This record gives sequence, C-alpha cells and structure tokens, in this order.
Amino acid sequence: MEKRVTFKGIWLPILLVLPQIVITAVFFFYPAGQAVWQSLFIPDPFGLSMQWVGLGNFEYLFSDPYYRASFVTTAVFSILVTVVSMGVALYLALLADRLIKGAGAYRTLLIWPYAVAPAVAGVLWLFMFNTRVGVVSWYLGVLGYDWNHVLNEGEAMGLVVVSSAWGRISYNFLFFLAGLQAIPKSVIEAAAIDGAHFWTRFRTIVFPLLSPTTFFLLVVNIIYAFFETFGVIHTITSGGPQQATTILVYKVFSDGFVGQDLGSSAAQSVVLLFLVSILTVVQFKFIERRVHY
Amino acid sequence: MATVTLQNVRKSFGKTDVIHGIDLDIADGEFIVIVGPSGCGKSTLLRMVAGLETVTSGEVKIGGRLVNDVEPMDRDIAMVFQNYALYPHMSVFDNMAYGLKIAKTPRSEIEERVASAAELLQLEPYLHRKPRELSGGQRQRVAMGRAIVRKPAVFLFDEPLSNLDAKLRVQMRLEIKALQRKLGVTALYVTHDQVEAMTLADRMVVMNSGVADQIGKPLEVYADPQTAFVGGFIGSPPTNFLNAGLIPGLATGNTIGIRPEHLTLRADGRLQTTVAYTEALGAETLIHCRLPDGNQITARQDATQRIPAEGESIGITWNDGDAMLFDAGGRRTGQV
Repeated sequence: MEKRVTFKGIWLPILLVLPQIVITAVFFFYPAGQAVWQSLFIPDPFGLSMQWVGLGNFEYLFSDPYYRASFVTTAVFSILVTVVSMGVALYLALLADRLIKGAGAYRTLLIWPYAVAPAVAGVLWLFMFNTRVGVVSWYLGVLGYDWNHVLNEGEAMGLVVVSSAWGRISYNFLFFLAGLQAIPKSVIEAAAIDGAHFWTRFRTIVFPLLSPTTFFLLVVNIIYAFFETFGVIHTITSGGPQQATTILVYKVFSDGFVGQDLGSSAAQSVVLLFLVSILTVVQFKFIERRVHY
Repeated sequence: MATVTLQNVRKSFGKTDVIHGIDLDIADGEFIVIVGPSGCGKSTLLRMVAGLETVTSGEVKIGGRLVNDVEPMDRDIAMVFQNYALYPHMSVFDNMAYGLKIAKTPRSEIEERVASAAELLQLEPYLHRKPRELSGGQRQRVAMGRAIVRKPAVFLFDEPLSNLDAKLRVQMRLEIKALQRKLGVTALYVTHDQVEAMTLADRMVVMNSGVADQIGKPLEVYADPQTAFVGGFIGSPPTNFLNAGLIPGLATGNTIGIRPEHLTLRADGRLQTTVAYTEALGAETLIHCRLPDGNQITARQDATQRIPAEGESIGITWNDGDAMLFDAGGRRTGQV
C-alpha cells in the first residue's frame, strides 16, 4: 500500500528539506571535507604554509603504538559503556514495568540523570572518587581499599565507564520501558498459562520482542560511547593515566589541539569517519536481519 | 477433563466490587457460556478461573482441587484470548509447541501433537508462517491450536470471535462447537454476543453488573427469563417492555415483557398503536409501532404476512401466556 505523501511541485519539498541540508552541509560535509584535505598535509609550526605529504600522516599513524593502543582502549570503553548502561537500564525497566504503585515517581527519578550534561556528570563523579577528598574513595579507604584512578589504569577506566554509562541509563531506561509497555499483556499472560516462569518468559518472549528497541539502543549507545563521552573523559582523566583512557576521539583532540599536530589529528578524524561508516553498514546489514519487527 | 466449581466467588478492585458472589457448577465436558454487556464482570470471572486475577473471596475449584492460590500454569487450563495473543516472533509451529517445549515434552511427541492439531484446524500449510502473515480467521485457529496441543482439562475462551468479521464469526462459531464436542473438554466461554451464547452453550450464565442473573439452558433462559435484564438481553430484537398500567387489571409500577414474535397485528388489538417504520428482512419483517404513551414496541411477523404502511394505525395483541410479568425491581413474578 502506498502511504507516502506526494507533492505536486518540486519547490515545496526542496524548501522543506533545505534547513536540514544546510545544517548537514555546514556542520558535517564542510568540516569532514576539511579534515580529509588537511590529512594530506603537514602544516609548519606557525601555520603559514602546508606541505603535501600524501598518505604520510596515515603511515605514521598506524606505525604509532600509542594510536594502535587507542583502538583497543576505545573498543573496551565502548563495549563496557554500552553493556553497563543497557544492562542496568533493562533491569530497571523490567522492575518499573511490574510496578503498580508509585510508578510515576520511580520513573521520574530514573530519568533525571539524563538532564545532567556529560561534563557536569564527569565532575560529579570526579568529586565522589577524588583521591583526596572524594566520599566514595574515603569509604573505600576505610574498607581498606586504596582508590587512586590517577595512577591506576584499571580504576581510571572503571570510573570513566561508570560516569559515562550513568547518564545514559536514563535514556536507555525510557526506551526499554516504552518497549516493554508496547508488548501486549495478553501475550505475556498466554506465556504464563503455557507454563513459562518470569525468566523463561523474559528469555523467550519479552527479549525477542524488545529486539527492535535493543538494536536501536545498541547503535545509539556505541555512537555515544565513541563520540559523546569526550566531556566525561576530559574532566575526569584527561585521557590518562598513561593514555589508558585515551579513546580515539580524545586522541584527535589531544594530538590536534594540545599537541598541535594538525595533520595527524585530521588523519585520525578521517580514520574515525571511515570506522563509523563501516560500523553503520555492518550493523544495518547484519544485525538487523536477526531482529524481529 | 474436569469439573469446574465456583463457590460464592467475589472480586474487588480496591473498594470497587466487581463480582458480587457467583456460584456455578460446571460438569465434566460441559460447554458453559458467560454472556453479558461490557463491564458486567464476565471477563474478570474468566480470568479468575484462569488464575490471571486473584480471587478476593470464595472458592474456585478445578477437577475438585481448590486452585485459588495456584499459578495459571499449574491449573491445567488453556486460554484463547480476544486478540489471540500469539507470539509474534514465532512461527505457527513454534506458537503451538511453546507450552510443550517448556514442559520438556520429547521432540517427537511435540511434532506429533502439533501435527494432529494442525490437521484438525486445517493449519498444515501455514506451520512455518509468522502470525502477521495470517488472516484473522487463521490466527484464531492458531490460538485454538495452541490451546488444544496442551490437552488441558479446561478451555477458557475470552471473546475469541469479537475481532472477526460477521461471516467468519458464524463459521468459527460452528467450528468451536464441533471441536469442543469432538475433544469433550470442559469449556468456559465469555462473550457479549447473545447469539453466540444461544448457539454454543450447553448452559449459559447471564451476567449483569457482577451478578449471575440466571443460569440455565439457552432455550429455557430464552423462554423463561428470571429478570427483566435477561429478557431484554437475550433475544434479538429484544423483548418489549410495557408499563403494566396500560393493561386493565394490572398494577402500575410493574412491567410486562413480550417477545416480538409473540405480538400479532390485528385491527382489534389490545392496544392501539401507530406504525413508525418497518424493516423487511426477507424471511421476516420487523414492525416498530409507537404506543399512545410514546414508547416503541416491536413486532416480528413472517414475510408472507401483509406489511402495514408507515403511519398506519393498527391494533396489537398477544396471548396471555406469552406476557411475562416483572416487579418494580425487575424480578420475574410470573405470567400475566
């Protein structure tokens, strides 16, 4: 069945999509083009001239062990953030879905963290885990655990993962709850009569029916972990200790704006661009097929 | 196969009483239809038997066993839902096999039981389709198949035909009846459609605002309604209710009910009426007349009889034995 709206002329549809096209062009195509262009040059220290190096920046990048390590860091970080934020959100949504009394208040409280900006969230967590004055690290000290994410790489990673995932839980929770409530109650009841207990129902009915939501969140969360966690990392660890939390996006920033190596920074941006395109294609081509709509 | 017994079953949601004490004995293999208007509590009653709603007070027994606190899955029942409640991500086969798989039935037996149910319901060509690829009638059959394969002691139907079109509904009605006879399983069937109730039931329960107004065989209920509500609800077009004060010798305040087929149009009737409009349905004709007090009354006659013109003044009459007398509270007090 044809349900599309059809326009008679060509000018109205163009006018309607124009704002989006302009925004995309100015904020995406132009900078992306600039990055591709700059990745082929090395500017002099004063920014007065540029020297053509072809793929030299890329060759240098991939022979750099720090850059290769950053790939692993990014993978670990993204997987952890996605799994933690989606796992916790799904668990909370399952509980909230069963709730009858006070569901509204519970939901509102769970949505709050989403309103906190990533950098602010980073500062909040930094305060709590501050090695000298942090509440949590003080209690950990009482328990005999010496918390120091400034020196310990694992602890640093743990802290940026938790603070990145925290704000994300609200967002994922909302989608999971909506997904759960869209499942007809009678389907769950039918499964209960068929003999399925709570976890069996979850495994065989609820989770498969949630898969469109899960898939959507998976894409959104990985992209979030890749690109939007900059603020958290910048405020908490600044990529340290020893680059243990330097994800690819953070490295673009620290090499380009701190290290002033604009050519390498641009090359890294191009690599990221390429990576995201591949990621998107892979996700839509292969994962989507296993999703029940 | 089992009996089902309800003893003074009540249900309240908070402070609202929904079911006000229902007693019902269902014999093994009996087909019971619970019929009533929407909001009368019929679905709630069924869901209490299924275990999907808690019982506020009273006893629900299946096969003589008290099941008030037994989980739905342990009650040995199967339920067909109004929206079928099929698992949308599973094939027809998996939908039917789901309960058996959970019960850890051997693979060969699952296949055998699903195959025989599919044969019974003519679903064999569709076993590998998803529910969304089926028509309404086929989905309905899958829902029935899912109930059948588990070989439950009791079938519960919650308005299973409401989502089908009129023609399919008549066809599925016959199939459900035939199936229940063939399997001999006790069935409890909820509907708001009095025709379904009349055609399917061994006995029917007519519910009105949480009370079972009358329980009995369909024709007995039709012929001898115990309350004005039952008289009005069962039968189409519904029973005509007249103020008894219109009839000489009867007390005002009471009501008499006369079914449309028991009214005869005659020049010298008991009451003078004006024909408001007529509906010729082919085999029969419905004649809606206006009484002097403004109320409307419907008579039903064979197509062979003369159809009066609209606006014509005509008398209407009936046999004394066909007039049912109800008191002011709607209780039946006898014949006129």
